[in-house]
This record gives sequence, C-alpha cells and structure tokens, in this order.
Amino acid sequence: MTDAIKHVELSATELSKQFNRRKIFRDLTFTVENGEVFGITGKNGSGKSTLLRILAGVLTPNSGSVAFHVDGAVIDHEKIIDIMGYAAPYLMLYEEFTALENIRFFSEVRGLPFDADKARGLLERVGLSPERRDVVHNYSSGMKQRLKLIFAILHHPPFLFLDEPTTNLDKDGIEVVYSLIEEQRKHGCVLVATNDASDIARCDRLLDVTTGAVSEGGR
Amino acid sequence: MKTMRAVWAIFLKDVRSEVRTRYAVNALLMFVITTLAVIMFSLAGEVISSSAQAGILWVVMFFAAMSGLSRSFVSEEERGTTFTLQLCAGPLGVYFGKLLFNVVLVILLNIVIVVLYLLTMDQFVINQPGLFWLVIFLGSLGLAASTTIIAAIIAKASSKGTLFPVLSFPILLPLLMAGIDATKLAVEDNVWDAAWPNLQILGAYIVVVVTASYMLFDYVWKD
Amino acid sequence: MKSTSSWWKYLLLVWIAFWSAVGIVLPIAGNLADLAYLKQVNAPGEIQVKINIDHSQPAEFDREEGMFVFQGTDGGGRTATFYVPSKPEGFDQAQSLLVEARYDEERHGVRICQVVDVDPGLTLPYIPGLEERARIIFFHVPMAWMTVIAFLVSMWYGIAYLRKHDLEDDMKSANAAGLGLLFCLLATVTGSIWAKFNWGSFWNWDPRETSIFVLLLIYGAFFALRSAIEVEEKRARLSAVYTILAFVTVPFFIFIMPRILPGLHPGSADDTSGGPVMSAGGLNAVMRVILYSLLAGFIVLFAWLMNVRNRVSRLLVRTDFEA
Repeated sequence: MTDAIKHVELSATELSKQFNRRKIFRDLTFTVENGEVFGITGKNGSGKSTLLRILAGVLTPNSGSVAFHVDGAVIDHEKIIDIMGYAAPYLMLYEEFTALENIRFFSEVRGLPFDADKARGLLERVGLSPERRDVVHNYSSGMKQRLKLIFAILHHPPFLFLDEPTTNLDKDGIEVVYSLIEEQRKHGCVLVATNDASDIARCDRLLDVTTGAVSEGGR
Repeated sequence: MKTMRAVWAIFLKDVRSEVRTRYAVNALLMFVITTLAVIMFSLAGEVISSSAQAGILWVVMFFAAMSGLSRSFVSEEERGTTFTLQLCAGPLGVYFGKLLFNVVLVILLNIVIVVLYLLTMDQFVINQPGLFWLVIFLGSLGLAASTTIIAAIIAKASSKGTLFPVLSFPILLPLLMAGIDATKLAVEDNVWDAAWPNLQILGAYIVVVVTASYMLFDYVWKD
Repeated sequence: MKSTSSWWKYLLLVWIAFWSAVGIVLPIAGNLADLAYLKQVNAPGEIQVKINIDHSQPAEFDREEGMFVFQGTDGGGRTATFYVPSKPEGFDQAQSLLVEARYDEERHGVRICQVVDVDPGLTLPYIPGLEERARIIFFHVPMAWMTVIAFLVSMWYGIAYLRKHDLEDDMKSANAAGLGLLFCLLATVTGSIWAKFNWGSFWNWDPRETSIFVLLLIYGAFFALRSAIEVEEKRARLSAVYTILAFVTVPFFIFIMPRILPGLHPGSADDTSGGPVMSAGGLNAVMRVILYSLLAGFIVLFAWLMNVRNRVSRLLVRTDFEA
C-alpha cells in the first residue's frame, strides 16, 4: 500500500509537555515532509525521546496537537501505528522468542501475512541471518538494536522514527542504519533524535528541543 | 478483521510465551495444590454444609485468579514491551487478546481446581452437573473480564502484587456472591429455575464489565 | 487575600444543629391504626398516641366503669372511645392529647395509662419495630446518601479529567472521594450502632451492610491505587478509570441486591412494610421535613468542605512547585 503514496507530511503544533508539573519542553511547532531527514537534538533530559513518543501518539501532550497527512488526507489516531515505524534503545523485544519468531509476531499483530523469505531478507540486510534461530535473550545489545530496525521497517511505514539509531552499533551496523535512512528518504520521511555528529550530518533540518528553533542540518 | 488478527496474534504470543517460560502455570498449580492441602488439613474430615463447600471452592478460585491473572499485563510492563505493543497493535487488539488469554487460562485453572476439589473432598457431590459447570464457566468469564482491566491498571502502579486483590475484590464481589449462591444451588440438587436470578446476575456482570473495559481501556493503555 | 463573608457558614451550622435538635426532641406518637396493628400481632403494649378530642360528643366520668370516658379521633380520621382513670387536667380547653395508651380488649376501646402532654405540637410517627430508634434516620440516611453523592461527584470530576486532562479536576475528584470516605465511615458507624440495638449485633452481613462495606472497600482501594502511582497524570487517569469501573459494578450492590435478597434492613425483599422506609408511608410530613432539611444541610456542608480542601490542595501544589 505504501508504494502508491506520493506525499506525506507530519505537522506538530505548539506541543508542550510536563511531568508532575515540571516543564519538559514548550510550544514546539514544525512540519516534516517526504524526502526529508529531520533531526531532533538537545542535551540529555531535554525531552527528545518524549517528543518522539508524543509524535508517535503513545504519549499525550499537555497541549498542542500532532497531525499526520498522507496524500492530503488526515490519518485517524488509531491508524497511526500502521504508517509509522519506530526504533529506540528503550524499545524492548520479546526475549524468550527467536528473531524469526519476533518478526512473525510483529507481522501478525499488524495484520500482515508472515513471509519467511522477506523476513530472511531483512535479517540478512541487518546482518542477523546466522543468529535468526537464537532466542533474543542471548543477543548482544548491538544485535538487539539491529532487530529493532527490522521492527521499525517491517511494514514499510512512510514515517520512520529513529531514537539514537546508532547506539550500540559497530561500523557495519551504522552503515546499515544510514542506508536505511537514505532508502526511507525515497518513500517517506525520517525523524532522528540524536546528538551524534555523524547522524546530524545526515539530517536536512534540525530542531533544538530546548529552544524550539529549526535550523539547516549538516547535509 | 485486522483487529481480530491482532487479537489472535497477541493471544498466540502469550500462549507460546507461557509454554516456553511456564511462568504463570507452575506457580498457579502449586498455589492451588497448597491451598487445597491447607483446607483439607484444617477441615480434617469434618462434614460441612453445602454453602460452606461452595464458598471454599470460590475462595480457592478467587485467590488462584488473584495470584496468576495479573501476569498478562504485568509481564509486558516488567519486560518493557508495553511500548513495543503500543507501537504495533491498537488498544482493542491488545485488550481482547489479553482477555482471551485470561479467559482460557482461568477456565483451565478452574477446571483443575474443581477436579482436584472433587478428588480430595469426598462429601462434595455435584447433583446438577449441567448447572454447576455453566456457573463455573460464567464465573470464569467474569473473573477474567474484571481481572484483565484491573491488571492493566495495576501494571502501571508500584506494589502491583498487593494492589491487585485490593482493587479486584470490591469489583468482583457481585460475581462472587452470585457465583457462590448458584454453586450451592447446583450442589444441593435444586432446579435450574432457582438459580436463574444468579445466572442473570452473572451474565449481566460479564456484559457490563467487558463493555466498560472496552470503553476505558484506551485511557489505561496509553501513557 | 480577599476576605470572604462567613455569615452563611454560621447559618449552616445553626441549620444543622437546629434540625438535629428537632429530630431528637420531638416526641414519637402513633395513631389508632398502630394500636390496632399491635393488637393484631399480639404485642399489646403501651405506646404514645396523639389523639384529637371530639368535644361534640359527651365526655363524662362513668361511675360504673370508674373511668372518665370520651370520644376522639386520630390524625387518620379513625374514631374510638377512650378510657382514662381521671379527667385530664385542662381537658375542656384542650384540642388534642399526647397519651400513653394501649388497646383495651374488654371495653373495645383505648385505655389511656398516662397523659404525657396536652395540646402537643408536632410529632414523629410511630414505626413498628423502630420506635425511638427511628431517629437514626435523620443522621444515618443523609450520611449514606452523601456517601453515594460524594462518589458520584468524584466520578464526575474523574470523567472531566479524562476529557480535558486538567489536573485540577483530578484534585477535585480525590477530595470528593476523601469526603466520601468520611461520610461512608459515619454511615457505617451510625448504622452499626443502630443494628446493635435493633438486631442484636453490630454486624450481621445484611445485604445493605454488605453494600456499604463494598463502598468502603472501593474508597479504600481508590486511595491505595493513588498512593501507588508516582506520576500525577497517570495517577489521575488510572484512578478515574477505576472509579468508573467501580461505578458500573456497585449498582449490583446498592440498588439491586438489597432489594431482591431477603434481609433485615428496612426495604429488603421480605420486608412486609413494602419498600424502603423512605418511600413507604412510614414517614410523616414532619419527619420528611427534618430529614430533607438535614440532607440539604449536609450537602451544603459537603460543598463547603470540598471548597476548603480544594483551596488547601492548590496551596500545597503551589508550595511544592516553588520549593
């Protein structure tokens, strides 16, 4: 279904969030369109991950709104999970299952038919093919991070949310992430929350969560 | 249709996970066996009334449910996979998937409890098996319905273990009272008509709790 | 800080004190139907009865009987012949009498044992089985109603929170529940004391007692849940959900079970007086006025306490925030 999409757009309007009356960030307004890699930066604790969660619709902002547009139509709140992929260090996988079983569950729960060949292709791509039948519990954190990338792109979402995508990864792994980002640019957009200089170098525009200012990125 | 597939996928995932880890099943079986053993010791062959028999049976079923049914959501929260599920499944799929798993678990559990109870308690004779099993079935559905939503609530709180029965008991009391009364009637060989008001209460209870949970689950599930 | 006028607070306290005093002081008086009922159930005893003297009929000392005999009616329009050992003081001017009397089998009349009051004012009705203990209604029933009202208020603000995500609503919800817990405890205690004197023990697991116990448990669970959640938004959301969940399941207790199950409490399924005391003819106008006046007083008291607690909560939040 994603192949037919021509134009996607994510717009955030005056987003504010506080926890227990402590302000995290205030009045963030920005728009991300297809073909873009949008970087979200800010020092530790400035609310990068909180912002990503709010954009993904799993956390409610105190004020402001988020709207997803696909080909001009606003996407219903319940349908956001179908058009959005998410990978983050704090995202946990089912560790008692193998990589293949995890992929199988994520396909089925999204209502997609499980395609063994496709799953193998994805595992090959992130370099987990030899360990595909090992339980995730025995994986290193870098290997888990690679599997999380599959979780994010399994359903070809037009919106890809990556929170510190290169943490725990070796050089090969980082290359995989960058190739995924470049590929995603062709059929959607990417939001990357990061402070890593080489990640930032890939971004078209950058948002500073603390000040709310949007600037040109390193690309 | 998509939701149905998500429900089934989550149910299967929980079943496979349970088969692999035996986390809930082992603890539950041990709980049931020890509880029944304590009851047998304390009764020491004494003859007790049918209402006391029905009451004890429901006490075992209630506390067994309290010890095992919160796993469905607490395990997701403990493993940190709640966020993962939020990203790949809608709230309806999650709720009904977990409900289905709890329903199956509690029905199997209650069958085991009743069978063990029959084996260890000679004086416990079911005179109306049809009515009796219908009551156990409806009671299981009700137990699963209310504990699923309470489990979703306490998964987000600290001191989950103690909070679960504290929050569940007042909500479950109508079910327990109707269930105990109907079980007593089934044991005493009463006609179905006598138990009819209780069956109505059990049925209405299930419908009310599932409907309310369905409407409220979104608020519990989202952070 | 602006000063707020407090005259209505004094008025409220005087109002509650006044109607409480009226509820305690007014005598309980039955009518001729109550005497007939006592005779019917073979429990002939003396009760207080209020009678109107019929001065159009002859009233004189009957030497044969050795009694002063006169005709009279009660509030319900029933007539009877009354026998009293001596002519009551001020009989000729009196319109009505408050007397201790019983049904007299031999004479088929009413035997007056003692004249309590001449031309009594307002009286409370005689309720068989309750008698003087009926006065608990003035406190117990408003407390029980306030418990439910506070619960509804708490849920109302809980729903408001779920709709608008305003922590102010959650604070009000918790404050209403706190007051509800207080009223619930008072209803339980007053009911329990009454049960000791009417049914013989403090707790009997009557369906009505079970229902107030469940409400107590729900209030307890509500606060246990709140204290177990750190994040305010999460606490607000989950406790609102729990309140609603409790609301959809407790009606089984408060409204259905006590009325379909046999029990001791007035208004149970096997209560021959038919329905709760509240709706039956058991209460007369005076009793209703006192009851509803006290209920209104307690509702205003609740609103006032709510307001005070909300202001305290706001100050606490502000000091927390500034600290």
